[in-house]
Amino acid sequence: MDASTSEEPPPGSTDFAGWKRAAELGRLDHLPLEAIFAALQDIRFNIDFGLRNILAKALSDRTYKLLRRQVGRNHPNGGADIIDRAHVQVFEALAQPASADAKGYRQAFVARLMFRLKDAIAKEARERRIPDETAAPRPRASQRQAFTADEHSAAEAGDADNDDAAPSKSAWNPELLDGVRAAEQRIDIDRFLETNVPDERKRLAFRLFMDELPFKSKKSASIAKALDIDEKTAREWIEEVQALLKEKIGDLK
Amino acid sequence: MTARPQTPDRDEVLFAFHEACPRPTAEQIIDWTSRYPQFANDIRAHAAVARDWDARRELSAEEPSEIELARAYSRAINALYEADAKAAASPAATQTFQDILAARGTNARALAQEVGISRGVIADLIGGRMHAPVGRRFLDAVCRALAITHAVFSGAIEIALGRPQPVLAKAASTPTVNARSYEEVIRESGMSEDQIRYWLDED
Repeated sequence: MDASTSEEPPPGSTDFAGWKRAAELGRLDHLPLEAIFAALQDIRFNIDFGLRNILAKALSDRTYKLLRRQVGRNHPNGGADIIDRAHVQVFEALAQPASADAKGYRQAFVARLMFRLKDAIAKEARERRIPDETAAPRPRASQRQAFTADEHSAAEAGDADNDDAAPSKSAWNPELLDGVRAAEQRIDIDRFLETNVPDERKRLAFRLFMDELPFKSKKSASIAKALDIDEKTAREWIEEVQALLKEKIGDLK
Repeated sequence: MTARPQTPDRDEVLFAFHEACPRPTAEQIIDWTSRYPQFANDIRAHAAVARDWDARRELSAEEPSEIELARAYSRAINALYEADAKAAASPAATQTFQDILAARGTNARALAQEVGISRGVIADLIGGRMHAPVGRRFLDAVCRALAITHAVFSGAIEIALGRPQPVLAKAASTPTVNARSYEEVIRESGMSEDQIRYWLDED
C-alpha cells in the first residue's frame, strides 16, 4: 500500500519547521503515514492550529481513502459506520501514545489500520447476526432439491464413515457443480457473494468450498473443521449459496 | 529476570494472524484456532474478512466522495480536540521531568542537544534550580522536543522546584540549592553572546 512513497525522507516527528515546509511544498500526500501520525502526535500541542489542521486533514483523507477501498457498499449504511469506527480510532490513538495502537500506527500504519478495520467489520457482522443466532435460517425446500435423497440421509445421520465428504464425491450432485462453473463464467462470483450473502461465515465456507475442500474429513482440513460447524450445517450453507447462484444464473438467462 | 506473562493478548494474537495469513487457508484457520482456542471465533471472523478482501483485490477500488472526506475530517478534528481536552484535564503535576524523559527513552544530555542549548541549563531546569517563568523560545523548544503541553511543563517545573537537587558540593560544605531566574541561568550558562540573546528572546 502507499505507506512509503516519497524519495525524500520525512521530517522528524518533532521537526516543526520541517513539517511546515513539507506542507507548504505539498508533500504531505507523499510522505509516509507513519511519519504524519507521529508528527501529529508529538507536536500537535505546540504548533499553530493551521499546521495542525493541515496534518490532520492529510492523515484523515489518506486514511479514509484506504478504508473506503476495503469496505464494500453491501454493509449497513454503505459501510460508512465501519469506516467511521476505524477512522476515529486512529485519532483517538493520538491521545494514547503508550497504547499498542499508537505504537503500531507509528511503526506500520497501514498494517495496523487494516487490522483495526478487520476488527470493525467482524464486530459489525457479529452485531448484525445476533438476532439470527438462535434460529439459524434453513434453506428453502426449493433450494434443497439439488441434493440427492441419499446425501441428505447421510448428512442428517451424521455419517461418521463419510471421511471425505467432498463436493467431488458421490454425495455431490455434479449438475450443481456444473452450475457453479457455468456461473463462474457468467458472473463475478466474488461480487455475487459480497452482494448476496451477508453472512461472512457462509461466504468463507463457500470460498473454502471453491478451494475444493471437503465438507468433513478425518484426514485433512475440511470446511466443517475450519468453521467449527457440523457437516450438515456446512452442506446446508453451501447448498444455500448454490441455490442463490442458480437463481442468479436464471436471472441472467 | 522477570518472566513475560504467558497469556496472549487478544489483539496481539489477531494482529499476528493478520500479518501471517493475508489469505487464510483452511489449514491456517484450523492451526490458529487450535493454538488459541480462546480467540477461535475472532480468528474465524478475521479470516472471513481476509478472504473477502482477497477477493476484492480484483474489483475496482472505490474512491470516497468529497462530502465523505469532509465529514471524516470534521470527525477527526473533533476527536483531536477531545484528545487535547483530555490531556489538558489530566493531572499534569504528577509527571516529573525524569518521568517524561524516561517515557521518551531519552535523557538530559540528549534533550540539551536536541534543543540546542547548554547542558547546564537543562540540568538546572530538571534539578529544580531554575524559577519559572522561562523564556518563550525555551518553553516551546523543550515542549516540542519532549512532546508535552505547556501545562505538563508547568507541572513538571513545579515538582522540580519543590524537591530541588543540589549541585554536587565540596565535601566540606553543606549542599545548598539556590534556584535562579531563567535569565540568570541563561546569562551564567557560558553560552556565546548570540546564543544568550537568542534564548532571552532579545535578537
